[in-house]
Order: sequence, then C-alpha cells, then structure tokens
Amino acid sequence: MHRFFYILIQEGVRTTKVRDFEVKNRIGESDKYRVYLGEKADGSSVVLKVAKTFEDGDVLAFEAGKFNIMKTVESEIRRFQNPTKENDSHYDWLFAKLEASFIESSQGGRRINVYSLPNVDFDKLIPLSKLMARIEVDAKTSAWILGRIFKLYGFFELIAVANDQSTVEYPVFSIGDYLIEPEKHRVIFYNFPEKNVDVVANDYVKEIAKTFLEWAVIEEEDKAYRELLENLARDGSMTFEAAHKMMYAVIEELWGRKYHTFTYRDKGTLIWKNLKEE
Amino acid sequence: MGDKPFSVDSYVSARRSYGITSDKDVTRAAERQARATGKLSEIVDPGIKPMRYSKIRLNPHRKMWITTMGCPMDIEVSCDTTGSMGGEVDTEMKILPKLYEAIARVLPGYDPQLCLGIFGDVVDDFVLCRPQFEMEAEKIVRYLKEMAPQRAGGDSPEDPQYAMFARAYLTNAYTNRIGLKGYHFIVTDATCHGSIRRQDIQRIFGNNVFENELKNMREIPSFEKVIKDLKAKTHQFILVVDKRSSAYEYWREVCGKKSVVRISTTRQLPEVISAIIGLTEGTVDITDIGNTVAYHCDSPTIYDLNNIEIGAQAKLRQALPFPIPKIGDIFRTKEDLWPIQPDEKVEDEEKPSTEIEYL
Repeated sequence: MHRFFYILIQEGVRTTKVRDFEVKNRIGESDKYRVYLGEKADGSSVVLKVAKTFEDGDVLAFEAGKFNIMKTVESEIRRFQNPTKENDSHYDWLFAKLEASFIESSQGGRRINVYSLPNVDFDKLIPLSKLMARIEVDAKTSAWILGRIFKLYGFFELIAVANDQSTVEYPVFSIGDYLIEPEKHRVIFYNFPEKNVDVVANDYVKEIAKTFLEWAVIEEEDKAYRELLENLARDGSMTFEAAHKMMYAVIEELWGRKYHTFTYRDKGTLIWKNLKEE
Repeated sequence: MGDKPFSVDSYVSARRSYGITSDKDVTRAAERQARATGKLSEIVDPGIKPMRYSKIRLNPHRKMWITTMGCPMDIEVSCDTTGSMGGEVDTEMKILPKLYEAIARVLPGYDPQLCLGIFGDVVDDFVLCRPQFEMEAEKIVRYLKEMAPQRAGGDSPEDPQYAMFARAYLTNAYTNRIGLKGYHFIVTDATCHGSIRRQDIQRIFGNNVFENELKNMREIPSFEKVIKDLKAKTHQFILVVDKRSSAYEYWREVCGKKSVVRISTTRQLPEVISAIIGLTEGTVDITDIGNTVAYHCDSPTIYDLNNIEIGAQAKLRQALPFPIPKIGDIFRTKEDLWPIQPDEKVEDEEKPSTEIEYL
C-alpha cells in the first residue's frame, strides 16, 4: 500500500457493539465528533461518526438531514430513470450513504451517524485535504477529481429542482469534506458543513476552479485544460451542471474518455509517479 | 383527572352519540347556531376563559397523587378554514384516530393532549376557534363538531397570528413548566397579514383579557415577537398546503427554513405531524422517513422534513434535572412540578453501564 494511503489513526483495533453495528478502530476526528470504522450485521463496512458530547449531536443531526435528502433524491432519480449499467449517472457514488442516525443511550445520549460507502475499498481512501497538502497531480488526475466535484454540485442543483426550491443550497466547499479513492476514481463527499451558500445563480464555480488551478501541474500540451480552469476561475457565473458539461467537452477533445492512472509527485520534487508502477 | 386513553372504540362511540354519521359537514349545526346567535360554542370560543391548559393527569393515591398517563405533551394544530380549506374540520374529524395513533407511536411514555383549532381572517365574524387540550376521543369529537368555520376569509393573506399569539401567551402547559416544549402547527395555504392589534385581541379573547390573563402584557407584541415567544415554548411549524410557492417562501422568511413543511393535502397530517414530532423527539430515525412517510407524501415534503431541527426536544430532555414523569410516579401535591424522586434509583441511572465501552 502506498505511503499516502493512510487516514487511519491506528489505536489498535477494538470492538464495541452499538445497536446492529460493530464499532472498530478510530480513523479520525473533528472538533465535534470521532470517526470509527465499523461493520454492519452482514459484514459490510461502515463509517460511524460519534458526537463527542450530547450537544455536539446537533452537527450530526443537521448532517443526517442533508445526507438523507441526497440519498432520497438519488433513489428517486434511479427509480424514474431505471438506468442500465451503461447510462447510470451514479450520483450515489459521489457521497456517503446515510444508513442510520440515532441517539444512543448507552453512549450518554450522544448522536451516532452511520454511513456506508458503496463500491469502495476503505483501505485506499484518503482525504482530499491530505492529498493537496502533500502532493501535486497531473492535469488528467486533477480533471477527474474536479469533474466529480462539479458533478456533485450539479446534483445539488437537481435536488433543488426535484423539490421545487427557488434557490440551490450548495454546501460551502472545503477540501476536508472529500475522500478520494485513487484507483477507482472515486470522490466521496462525506462531511456536510453547517454553512451553505443559498443562491439562485452562483459564481461559486470560481472558487473551486481556482483551487484546482493552483493544485494541478498542467503542462503546455494540456493548455486547453488550463485555459478552461482560468476561465472558470475568472468568470464562474454559471450553474455547476453547465460547468461540468463545459469541462467534459474540453476533456473529450484533449484526452478522450479513458481511464487515467493516478499520477502525482511529492511537493517540492520533479519526479512523477503513478499507482500502476508502485 | 382520569386515566382514559384515546381509543378508536371511544372515537366511534362518541361520533355515534353526537349523531355524526357522515364525514361531511360535521360542523353544520354549530355553524348555523353561531350565525343565529352571533356566538361560538363556549368549548371552542377563545373569548370565554381564554387560557388553555395541558396538565399532568393525577389521581388521588394514599393522601398523595399518582400519575395515570405519563408526561403530558401539548400538541396544538390550528387549521386554515378560509376559501378552499373551508371543509378542513371534516378532514380533522375523519383523520383523528389515525392522527392520535401516529402521534402516540412516536411519543412513548407521554400523554399526547390535542388542541385542534381553526382560524380565518380578521374580517370574519369568528377569527379563531380554540378548544382546550384534550386526550379523550369523546371530548375531541365534541369540540370538533362545535367549530364554526367561516369558509370566507376576505383577501388572500389570513390571520393565523392570533392562534400563534394564543399559544405564546394564553396557554399553561406542563411541558413548559419543566423545561420542555410542546408542538404548534399552523396548517394553511396562504400568507399572513401579520398584524397584531389590541382591538382584535379583545374581540377574539374577550374584552377583559388585558385585565385578567394578559395583565402583565405592557405592550402589544409585534408579529416577530409573537413568533419568537412561540418558539420559546413550542417546536413551531407551518404546514403549507398546496405547495404554493408564495406561501411557502413567505413562511420560510418569517419563521425560518427549519419550521416550514409542505404537504399536498391535509389527509397527510397524521404521517407528517408524527414524523415531525418523532424526529424532534429523537424517536424516529431520519433514514426511516423514506419508508414511512414517503409512501404517503411526495418529494418536497420529504425534503422539508429532512431540514427540520432533528433531536431538538431530545436536547431539552437531556437538560432536565429528572427523567420525565411516568405512569405510577407519585406527586406529594397536585401543584408539585416533579414527582418524588427515588434517590437511589437516580444514582443508578447516572452510572454508565460498565459492560459498554464509551466511544
């Protein structure tokens, strides 16, 4: 396993039973909750967020509502579109799936949220914030990550439409809220910030494009991609759905839609590496 | 105060004894009477003894008092009966058993007490019908049939602010006394005039209300103040029927996004009200909403339910000095706030189990 594939705070594996879930080792924490790996009764893996105090449960209650909306709308889309393997938009792969949210009396009344991450190898997950802190990526690698984030934000626009909302509630963008699974090209939104941007037409695209413009190392041959990011970072007054479409038009023309191995270099070095070679 | 629970049998029996044989026009006689006399039946008239009470039910027990039905939970629903919503009392009467059953299911250990009222417009002869909080089918059926919906309503904005005013300042609820909140629902398809006027308060709640029940009210509160005070005492919700965006956006602006839920029809009230209460109490897992409510409601309702303040009552309950009273608890006097606490039991409950690892 590559050295940056660690999000686990290894404390030695322990097991505690909470309702139907086996809670195992702690893998992270925020100021409001701790994060554990766990298992459902059927043996499948889950992530459990346990509020640090009873009061901290508010954050998880809020988050549960938001993730539940995402899950509900995704399953509605799935139900109506009845997608085949070829045309499945797979919005469900973009965010953590809320399995349960409850107040646990055996844990001092603290709230616990349980999430599954379908079709993901848990051992290979890493927060985007850690990636951005340690490595740089090539244009193609940055493009699939950014593409997934635009798609996710486009999904928030769909949620607003599906629910007759006059404005879209976009979560504030934070690189700490995403997990990356580099091999399967998965970007998973797993923290819902309490702050959101509630706007009709947004220029929020700018901020995200700018973040990726600064992170990616874009060679001269890929300058069309650089120009795209520069344009979006300068004038992002469009929906995320439009930005996503625009981006994929450029990608198709530049590289075609092919699998690209995660390619990166450690910050401050010049040697490119990719997962295939390791 | 009794120990009669609500039951479908008692509901059917009450309907029979009050001669309610149809699901339509259950208030026809009361409306006719109100028109002829210019007065509401006193059991729904907010102008006669305007205070409403939600009390714990106690029976005498060895010179003390024993709790017969658990902790009371006051739930007030005030329904728009103007224009197209004129027949809503019929709906309330029809769905009553389902409503009570759904609420009781998400409030284990509580004694749900229902005040199902109606409101209209200030231009109407009767702006508000507001019964006492009741928990027995016979009494609820009786007060529902005594309502006098005006079915008119003047212009489009209506006047539910007086129903909100009543819960904020003219209600004595056990929940508030111990530090919990009750529930308040306005069901409407319209916006609100939002003006609170002294002469309207006197017309609705009686000429002497400022000398008696509201003698400490130094100035007439603004609509914003009423909402703020209502929210201090209840988990307050607006259920917007018909998804008209003007009413929905208006109420989200006035009461906050977490307090407004759209519904398609008032027939959904049992599912939606019980889901709101269950989520607020923490007795319903939000991931179950899809399985229970989704069958009856469409996407915007589910969306709004996911946005309410989940677990808000659980938070208040956690802060209480004692567990909420339960059946069989003993009160020294009827005026006591809390039952006698078995000290040794309290100590036991405070100790976390040694077999469970604290995460």
